[in-house]
Amino acid sequence: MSRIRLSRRDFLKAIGAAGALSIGVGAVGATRALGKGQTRGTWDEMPHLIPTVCGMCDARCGVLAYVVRDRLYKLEGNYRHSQSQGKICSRGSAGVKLLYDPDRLKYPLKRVGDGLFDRISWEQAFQEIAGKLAQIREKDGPQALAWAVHPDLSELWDRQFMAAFGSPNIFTQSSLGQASARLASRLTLGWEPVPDLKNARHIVLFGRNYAESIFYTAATTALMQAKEKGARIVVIDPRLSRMASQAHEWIPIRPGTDGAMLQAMMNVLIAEALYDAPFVEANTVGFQELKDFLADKTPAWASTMCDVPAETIRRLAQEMASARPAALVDPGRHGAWGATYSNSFQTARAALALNALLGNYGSKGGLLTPPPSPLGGFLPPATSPLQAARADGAGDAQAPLASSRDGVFQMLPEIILTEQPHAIRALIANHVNPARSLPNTAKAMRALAKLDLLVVIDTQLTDTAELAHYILPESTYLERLDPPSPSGYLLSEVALRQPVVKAMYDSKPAYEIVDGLAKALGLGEDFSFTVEDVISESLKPLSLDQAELSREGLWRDAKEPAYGKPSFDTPSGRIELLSRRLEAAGFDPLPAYSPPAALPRGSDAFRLVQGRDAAHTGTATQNNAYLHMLSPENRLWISASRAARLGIKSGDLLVVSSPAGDIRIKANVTQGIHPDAVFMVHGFGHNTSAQRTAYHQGVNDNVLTSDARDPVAGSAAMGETIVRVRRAR
Amino acid sequence: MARYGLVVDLTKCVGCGSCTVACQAQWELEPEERWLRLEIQEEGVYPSASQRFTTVQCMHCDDAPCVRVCPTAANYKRRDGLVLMHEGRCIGCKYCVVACPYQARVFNEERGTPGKCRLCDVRIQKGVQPACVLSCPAGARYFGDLDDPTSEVSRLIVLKKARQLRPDLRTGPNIYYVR
Repeated sequence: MSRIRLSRRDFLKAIGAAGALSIGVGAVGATRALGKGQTRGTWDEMPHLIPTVCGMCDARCGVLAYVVRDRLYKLEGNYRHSQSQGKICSRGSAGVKLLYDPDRLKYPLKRVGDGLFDRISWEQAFQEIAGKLAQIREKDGPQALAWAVHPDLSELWDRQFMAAFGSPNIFTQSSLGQASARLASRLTLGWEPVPDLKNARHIVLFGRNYAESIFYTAATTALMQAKEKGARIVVIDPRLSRMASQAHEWIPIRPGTDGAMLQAMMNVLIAEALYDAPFVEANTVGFQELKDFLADKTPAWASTMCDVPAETIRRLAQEMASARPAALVDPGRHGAWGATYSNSFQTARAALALNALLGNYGSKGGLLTPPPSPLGGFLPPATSPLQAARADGAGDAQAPLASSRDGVFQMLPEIILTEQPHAIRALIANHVNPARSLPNTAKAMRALAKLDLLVVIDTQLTDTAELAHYILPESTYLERLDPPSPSGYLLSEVALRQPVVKAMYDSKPAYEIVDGLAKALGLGEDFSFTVEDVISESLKPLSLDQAELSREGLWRDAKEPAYGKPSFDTPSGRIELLSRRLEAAGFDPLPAYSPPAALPRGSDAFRLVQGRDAAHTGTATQNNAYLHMLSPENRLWISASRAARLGIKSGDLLVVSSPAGDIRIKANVTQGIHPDAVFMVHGFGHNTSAQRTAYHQGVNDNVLTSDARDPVAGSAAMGETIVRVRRAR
Repeated sequence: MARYGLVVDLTKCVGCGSCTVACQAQWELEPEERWLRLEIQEEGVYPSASQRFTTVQCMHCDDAPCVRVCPTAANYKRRDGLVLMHEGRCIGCKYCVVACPYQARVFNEERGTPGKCRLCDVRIQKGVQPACVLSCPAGARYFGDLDDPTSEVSRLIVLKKARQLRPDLRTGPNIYYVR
């Protein structure tokens, strides 16, 4: 029997360790032995090119895998796929190091002591977990099981499992990332808009970072094509991101006040009659109310709050108006209003309203309707209706507008710890790392440690897995067949993720793991389908079979993006500047602004701003040898003027504390940040020694973050974190 | 005869590092072995600060110091402009590592030889773009024949006033940058 021992440590302390000075080089050898004189990157045989779908983030770009004798040599962007167009980001290229990561999870593991795991068989794992789940259901009811899933192509199995088991408590990471913006789009437009960057002439990015938070490479390409053609790019961000450096203008803003600036820009458009009156007349409801509401929201009013000169706000609005309708405020991802502050939902609404005043919906260079999914829906066997209500109240009277499909993930620790409204005894985390992705790490760790049963399905031994009772190794996206992916940048497209090499070690696709668990629990009747059934049913409307899609790798609708008057999927059929649904739920029906709930006061107080860098996806890629070398650790960005007053120099070790916890991190003293803000890249500070490359490199930002939330969307408001900063003694 | 080179449009580069990893993946490099690196320089004072990105790799110089100092003639300049190396002739003396003003050579201790950008010779001979050029999400990199006045790279050099990095060193670099 093989036994894995992790370093023992007091995990409840959850204090991020300061990154070591030297860059730790993982024990990752060359992918093959080469003799001296033999040229690398050349092969005796021509590689097979297999089209598949990337899985290094959720964007699902098409890639081509170069495979020689069942060994993956490299990955390249699929030039036929609309999202990649032959291009590939650093994470996409580095996929080969995930597949061959020696630290990967290889076998099912069972906890036998603190930090001690034994290898077990899949059969034993399924039987034991099923036995424990049955006991929990018996004693505390089915709702005592919670499930966290990374929304990927095989989410259907996770949802079917929970439906069959009888628990509504399934969570995705949406509430930690984009729930505020998504809900705002759904209520205002009925769909989530896609910016037509390539044809825009004036692009305003509030925190949207196409350089360091690359989603589709094609969007970054389109943005830079627009720049080359003469489009003006303006970035409004408390931090000088790489995107801001590549823009024509960087406007640093006091963090959390974006909503006030958007309102003032709208005020200018209306007061100076620069808005698209015919478009507004024909396509919106509530303009008069919005106009009255904005009458006193002048640039001067916003200026002191946002710390942006009134003249700059006025000029920006005027410049956008002169380029309309090919002018847009990017709807954003996480950035300024995805799920960031307590006011994020209304800020996202304000951005959508500003775009409406510019009349850019459906226009070339404006915001477009996302392409419809051409896939058929697979209907799994029907399960009996759920008896229990969601523990987080999402979709109920408590949080009527929060998504009951995604849930309010950051409430889970509180529910587990207080057992209110009911006990949660077990959690299955499928490709999710709540120990690191949830705010307030100490609380999240306490909650995870309290569970009677924690099962982790993942490719890597994450900090969550280290706390688990059972760890089930998932095969990577390069080793498995998945249901087809309805991806596509501005056009309708379907791509297939297919195995490029045989599954390594004793790993299985997550859906097979879920299926095995369900069958061990006696839920086999609800799982009388395979991934092939889902694929063939999904492809029916395209009169395409799996073999054809597998050969070509993708299917696309040759049509151009849908320009022209869009149809809005709202009760009024128009853009709802004023939303009666919001009013009915007890919220302001107009995109009102409220300042962030927490404010920094004192010479050592700052607002913590989190963000991404181009090399990493959340907490999932820090152990990747290539990506680690590209970005080995994070530092705390602090403004040069305030650092000088606190006696802080670049490279100094700092103590940063918040009500949630404290960390030690090195300073990056910079001219590129608003004085009120300090900034950290999210994802570092892995605490499990099994991740040899990432272990104790950089610091975990969520030790500090608040678990406050946006009252409307229920999403996390981690930007409501005020920290105190001092030099470590 | 062709003279191959690159134009890097730094007005489009977003500093994402995709080129670095695409190169490593293409040549199966060790993680710490980078034939193409991204340099970032912060300049200016808040609120008008900015960052400058520069990607640096072997410049495939016309008068390459690495070729001149190599005691075994392992390093050589090919007629199509590429600076390459006969790895079998290399004795690992590291003269070239020191001589390169762009610090483009990375010594691989395991192999005992210095590696560097080969301008993806195995790809371009098949008519495929170098890995760093194809992968670039910003579309900031261009490959082509600098001797052909009608090529995209030649036109870009004229239209966008692309310049070499440190031409004053008189090594005749064949990578041009648009700032």
